[in-house]
Amino acid sequence: MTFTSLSFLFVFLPVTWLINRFLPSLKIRNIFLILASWLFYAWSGPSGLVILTLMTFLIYFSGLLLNTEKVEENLARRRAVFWISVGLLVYLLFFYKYLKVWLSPFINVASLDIVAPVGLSFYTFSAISYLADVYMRKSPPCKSFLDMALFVSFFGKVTMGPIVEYHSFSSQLSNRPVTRNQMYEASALFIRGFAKKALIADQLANCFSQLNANSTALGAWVCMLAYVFQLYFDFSGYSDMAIAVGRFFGFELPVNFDHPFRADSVKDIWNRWHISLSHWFRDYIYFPLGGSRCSKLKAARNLMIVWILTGIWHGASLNFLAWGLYFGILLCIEKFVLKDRWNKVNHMARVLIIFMIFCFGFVFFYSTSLSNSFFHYKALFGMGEGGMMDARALFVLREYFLLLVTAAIFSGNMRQTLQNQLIVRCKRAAPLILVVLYLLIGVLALAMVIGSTSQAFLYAAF
Amino acid sequence: MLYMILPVVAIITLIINLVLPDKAFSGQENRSLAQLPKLSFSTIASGDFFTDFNSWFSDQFVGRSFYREMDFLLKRGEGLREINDVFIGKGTLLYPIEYNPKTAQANIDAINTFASLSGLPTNVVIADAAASIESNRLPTSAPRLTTTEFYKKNISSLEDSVHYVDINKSLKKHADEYIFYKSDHHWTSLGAFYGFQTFASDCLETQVSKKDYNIMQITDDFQGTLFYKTGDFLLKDNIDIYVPTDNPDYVVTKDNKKSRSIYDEKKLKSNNQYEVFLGANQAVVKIEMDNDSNRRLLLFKDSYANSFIQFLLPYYREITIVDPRYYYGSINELVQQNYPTEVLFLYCFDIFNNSDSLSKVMDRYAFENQPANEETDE
Repeated sequence: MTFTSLSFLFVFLPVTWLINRFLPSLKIRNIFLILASWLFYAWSGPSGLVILTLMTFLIYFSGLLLNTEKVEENLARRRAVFWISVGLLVYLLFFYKYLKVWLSPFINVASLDIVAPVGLSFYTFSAISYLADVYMRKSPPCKSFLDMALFVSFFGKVTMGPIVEYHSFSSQLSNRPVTRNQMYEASALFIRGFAKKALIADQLANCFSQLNANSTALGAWVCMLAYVFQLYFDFSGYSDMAIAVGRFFGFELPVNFDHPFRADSVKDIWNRWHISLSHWFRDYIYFPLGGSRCSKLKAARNLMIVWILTGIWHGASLNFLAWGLYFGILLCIEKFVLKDRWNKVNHMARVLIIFMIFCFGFVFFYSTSLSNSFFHYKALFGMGEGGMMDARALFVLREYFLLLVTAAIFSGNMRQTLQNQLIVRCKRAAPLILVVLYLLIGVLALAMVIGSTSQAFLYAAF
Repeated sequence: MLYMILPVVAIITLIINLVLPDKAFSGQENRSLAQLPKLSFSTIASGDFFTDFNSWFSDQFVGRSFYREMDFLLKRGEGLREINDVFIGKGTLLYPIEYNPKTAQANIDAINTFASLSGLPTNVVIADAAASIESNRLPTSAPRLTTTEFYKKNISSLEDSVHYVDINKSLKKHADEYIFYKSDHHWTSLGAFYGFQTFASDCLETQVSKKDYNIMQITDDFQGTLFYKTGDFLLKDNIDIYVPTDNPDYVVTKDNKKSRSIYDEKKLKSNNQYEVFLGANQAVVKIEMDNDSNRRLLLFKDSYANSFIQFLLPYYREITIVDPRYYYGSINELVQQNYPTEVLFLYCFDIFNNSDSLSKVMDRYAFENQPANEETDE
């Protein structure tokens, strides 16, 4: 079940919200939400529910064990419990996501029927964050299995993030009021996210798929831009819906995107794109390794480790590793070579250059392999077999030009600007007009979801 | 206000969806709609229940047709001119040109094989693709593929004993007329008429004009294969029938059932009104005319020929129609039972390039007719 499926929009979500609204106590609501979340997760594949609950049990008992006297007082034992538990979690992730691909050069893996459960990468990281928070004494261990289950499985974030760190979520398990204003903002955010996915991302996906094999320069550039905007609207749209869903039930999930195409440095990109993942790697890998509070060489090493792991997290094949290395190396250059000199460059120029750097990096992301990446790079520079352009590339550009421009404009602050203008100019009528506009946009997005098979959320593979 | 409206609207929609009875078939999509899935332990454990539930809820969603039409308008409005590989042209939908040299040549070889083994006078008509004839109606900047290679290379490899009838010059001349359906990949009866005009002049030594037919419009709301592919509900077609003024009485035998008309009126109420010509595609159809002709035609075809047959009736005593896509029997038997005096292969470019049924059928024919001593060779 995805957030844009009709079963979710018109069955699961309203029914769950309605029941939750009228349950008498927070404890009962928590139990209800766990059951609803497990049903939601099983909807995507019942066998995955076994892994999810197994992981929940593992971290629950490990967390409690870390706090027992015998383990607490012995550093070596504490370390062992922590690393064995984390090791088991990582092993589960490795088994389902990486084993087949990494073994394929050595043995025939065709008979290995291993399918990664949906969202494994996301909730494994959430689970590791819990163990790490308990180990680093950022949070006391969770005494209630129900609270543990809700943290891991909450349907608003279980399949595709945002990756929630335990210490920022734990208090909400016992206290999360819902105000009218929160509900209004969440409703608007939900529709915006839905529109981003259905009206823009899913349509740009068609543009991308038509030009993915195009070897002309024009085709490669349009393909790259279509993919970057598709990915942004798809993932940020999904994240908006997730945050909105969280708010419907009183949870405050972390923001995942903050206008990433306004970034003016490589570091800034990662403060604005998939923020929850960046923060996870910062808090649980970069800082524990020493961060930048060490020699330049070690700091550079720490950055590269983080980015190699970030690349691998996204995918098992070499092109994802290359993607991670690309951004890792650029970050090192920015931090240790360019330093303050980069800030002296004109701001608009920086934003444009960083956008291009971002786009070029993501060629590795959408390529199916390392050699496929080189195919795309060659085409981008006019050295592909197709030359500069062909009829197909021109035709697709013509078809999707309006959509690409719309995507570019609305990836900035245009929506907020238009909304503010409406409020200023229409004053009293503004709230009503906004409601009508939102409902209209919701209906248009619904039409596109019904009209065509929705594109699977791109990060669902992770 | 929005936060109250959303859940209320969602729940009311859910209730309406649950209350309204399920539909079995979608005329708009020309397919069966998913029904309520069975709830059992095994379907839940396998995950089938959830997948089927999603399909059921989606297929039976209230207002589905309306939303699909809105989706089409949105796609059109944002600039799309190609949906599911079909071009949204200027006032018409156009099926893409797919030239498959291997398949095309296999079918050409099949025709050559048949002609040489049967020894029967053989004519070939292959109507060009609509996107080629009406290329000026393609959307602006659409890639313009051509069928030239097919006609230059493959057609020219037909044996000298096989007579190729080039109807495409005439079709091109009349390209601005309504010779192809707007919402279907077939030619209209007018297009078939122009094709027949050339065929008659070439093979029947007859000049025909529209005056030789009673032309009747039998429907004005035909939406064909390209409508189903694109969802373009704005285009509707007329279907005309051309009944020769000197039409003989005839009997059509199909599936051991006999009828007096090649037009199946019941199909005008179906989702594929083009099937008014000869009904649904069949392996073999036989038409026996009550006239003085001593010509008997064996016609190998795809669905293009269905609207062409109405023009052939006065000129033949018998027409045996074979669609190799559905025929698994023996061509030898067909020839022996019907003793045709001539053969016609009547195809459109699209099927001729995408279906190798003809070549498979002729492989069997060639095998049945191979000389006896070859069977004993080691």
